Amino acid sequence: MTDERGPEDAGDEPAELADWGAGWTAPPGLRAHTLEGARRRGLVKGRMMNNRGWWMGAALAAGVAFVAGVGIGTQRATSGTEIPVDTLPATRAASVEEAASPRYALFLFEDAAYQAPAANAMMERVKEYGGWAGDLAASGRFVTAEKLADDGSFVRLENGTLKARGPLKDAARGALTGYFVVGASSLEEAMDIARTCPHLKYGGSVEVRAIES
Amino acid sequence: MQPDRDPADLADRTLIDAYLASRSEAAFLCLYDRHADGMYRFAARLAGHGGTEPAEIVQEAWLRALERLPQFRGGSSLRTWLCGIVLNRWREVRRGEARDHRLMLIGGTDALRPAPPAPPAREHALVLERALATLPAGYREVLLLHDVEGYTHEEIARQFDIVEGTSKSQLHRARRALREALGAREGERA
Repeated sequence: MTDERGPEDAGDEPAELADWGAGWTAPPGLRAHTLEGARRRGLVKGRMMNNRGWWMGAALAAGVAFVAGVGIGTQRATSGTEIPVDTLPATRAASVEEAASPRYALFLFEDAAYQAPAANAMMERVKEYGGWAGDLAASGRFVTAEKLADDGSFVRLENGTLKARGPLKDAARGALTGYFVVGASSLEEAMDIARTCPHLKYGGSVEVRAIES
Repeated sequence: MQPDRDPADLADRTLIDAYLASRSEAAFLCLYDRHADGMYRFAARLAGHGGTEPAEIVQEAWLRALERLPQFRGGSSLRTWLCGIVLNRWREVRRGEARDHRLMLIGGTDALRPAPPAPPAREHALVLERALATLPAGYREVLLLHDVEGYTHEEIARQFDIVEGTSKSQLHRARRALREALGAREGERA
């Protein structure tokens, strides 16, 4: 909200109006009530502790939002709307057209060793993952990313019969929770990108695989 | 200027995308923790008091906001958008439209008590509160939106589906009415 008050508005409001009621805060119980209401209407799903990797969704969103922001900026710039140069990103994310350069998939896994954030530290974790993805996008190496849901099924034929099980948890790596696709000139560079992923310092693991073109 | 360049808007957009991607309660609670106090304060100011009524309004406003978040395009800040939903809900409650199901959602209001502490009970604040209570609801709404919540006339006009000039003249009349009400209160005390 920007202040567009003109001269006819300035200084006209009764004193103390802006401060009136500033001491009111939401009752502590409202948080749980609202969450329960959201659950009943199917607006939230899962419980905080068994819904792995949700903050990665924020990281992915940051990367996607960066790309989208570039797109919006480009459209506005080409449509003649004046945009200050310094509000546009200095670099841009990799585009599909640039897919001729080598691409690598970074698969993110979580097992029991992964240190999930405490409830009061989630915002910080979101910012950390989001910042990492945003930096990746700013350097032009972000191609795409997807968060995988916790549920799913693994199917195979055994003696002609289709067998299905829940999402496989690799004994060594845990559950696959999502992936990034990045542009890099070599496997070594892709590994360097993976090393900076916050996922590692919290006990997660990242598998780096070249995408064959 | 691109509206999403504001760091707060970027943080909101990131959390909205995280919520929409996962529908997880943790993502929702991050949004809730950022905006619930502001929504509650706005609802309490509309109602003229704290307690369970503004809490019910805010709870229902959140549920509607979650339903409509996929359509939120960032034309205004998330805070402005959420306060708009609070305002619509407040108007419904005031008209009595929602009387039948207001308390069903909340599942009982005991957990919402004790009511949050009242604003500092300075004498002038009480006079102001009583004066505001005497204003027609439309005057109180435009005063709160513009002078307290910081809405622009453009945003108020969009909210009420009126032209900006009407918002400005309404604000002018509301301020005059408040000054007169304050004067009457001060006169009573003298």
